[in-house]
Amino acid sequence: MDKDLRDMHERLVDHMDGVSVDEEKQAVSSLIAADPVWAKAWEDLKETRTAILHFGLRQKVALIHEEMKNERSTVKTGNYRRMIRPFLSVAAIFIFLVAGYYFYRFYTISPEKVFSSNYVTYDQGTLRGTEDHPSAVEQAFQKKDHVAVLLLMAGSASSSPKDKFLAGISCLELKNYAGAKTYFKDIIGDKQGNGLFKDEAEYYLALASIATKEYGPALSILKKIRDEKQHPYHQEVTDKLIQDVKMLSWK
Amino acid sequence: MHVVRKFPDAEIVSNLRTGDLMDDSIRSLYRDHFDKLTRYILANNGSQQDAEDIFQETIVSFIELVKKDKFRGESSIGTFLYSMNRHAWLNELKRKGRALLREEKFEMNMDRGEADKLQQMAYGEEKQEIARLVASLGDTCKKILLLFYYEERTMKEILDATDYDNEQVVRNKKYKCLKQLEQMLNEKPELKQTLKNLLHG
Repeated sequence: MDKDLRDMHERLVDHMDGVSVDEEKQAVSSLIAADPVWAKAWEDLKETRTAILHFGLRQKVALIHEEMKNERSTVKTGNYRRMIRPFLSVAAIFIFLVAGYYFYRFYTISPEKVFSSNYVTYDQGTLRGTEDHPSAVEQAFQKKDHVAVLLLMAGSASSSPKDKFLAGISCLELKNYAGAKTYFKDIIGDKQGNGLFKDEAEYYLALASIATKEYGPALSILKKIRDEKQHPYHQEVTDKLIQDVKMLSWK
Repeated sequence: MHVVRKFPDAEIVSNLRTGDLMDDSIRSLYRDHFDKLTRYILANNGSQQDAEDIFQETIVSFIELVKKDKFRGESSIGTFLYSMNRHAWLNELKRKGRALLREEKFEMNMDRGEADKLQQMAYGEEKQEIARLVASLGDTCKKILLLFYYEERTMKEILDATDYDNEQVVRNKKYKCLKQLEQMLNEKPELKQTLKNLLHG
């Protein structure tokens, strides 16, 4: 019986696989049509093949699904890149221009340029507390005789903060930066002077320090002035000036 | 460079039926319909993973319908896939016990012909179980059976693709594997109806 069943199964498999000769095909077809046992075995066999075909198709679709997921993510990335490319170009140009500007500034900046673009010749008319009888130093300053101012100061045992300040400015006019710094530091450190001309001295000391390439002290004075909104030179100390001094310090 | 091929509906149906350019045709279905069908699932409480799973089920069922000549092109492939996708998602929602009223209305309003065709989409769980059963065969058995029945390779080609000595050994192995799978399926009577449905439609 087992052998009969095995024979039946083998014949059915050959029949399904299409390897039977014509005569056998007809014989098996007749048996399937006539015998319920053969018909059931034939149906089971076809269902088994259907399961294989279904599995094969699922596998194929799953493989293509993975492939398409990769393709879609590549396309999405490509689309995203295409979308942002114009913005990237504009950003690149902008960065290039900004970098170029700073590059140009860095290589062309000098202490002399920074000093001259921020130095304003002191206007004597703005002097605070101008007296009816101006001192000899003041009179010489009014005549813009800066050499006379310094000679008068050299011959004087003691002088007012105003005279010292004018002497400092005269030094700057004569490009004697070291001398100017001495006068301005004197005013800043003078406890007796009641703070007269201290604010002005700070600003001009910073400029004199730039001219003598002492960028560290110059920067700390400029930052102090920048932080003090009430400082009379607060408006003069711009971000650009501080940036320029920083650049000078990097050179 | 990979060339992206786009096929008109009629050519896709013809290719799926005959098996020619099968892979390219499936890719074309993905490119043309995946986004729209995915959007539907995402808009109806589904996740991206749900959308991908349902889409795969839809494509498999669609190809099986086409092979059985059950898709005659009364509607476009896009419309048909959309209906199948919705139906599959409805089944999934019901299975998960959160069917939406709106979806039930859709099912009630569906015409009989469409419902019959969509019946192909039913038994989703059972189909997966059938696939799992085949997958549980040994690698050699799976390879031989798939090469012979799915890829329709000759015994000579299968011999070249395996380590066996001659065609008769391959033939014997194939017979044993087929018998083994048949026994495994017979031990799962709950899968019978799905197999009959897949076989006869």
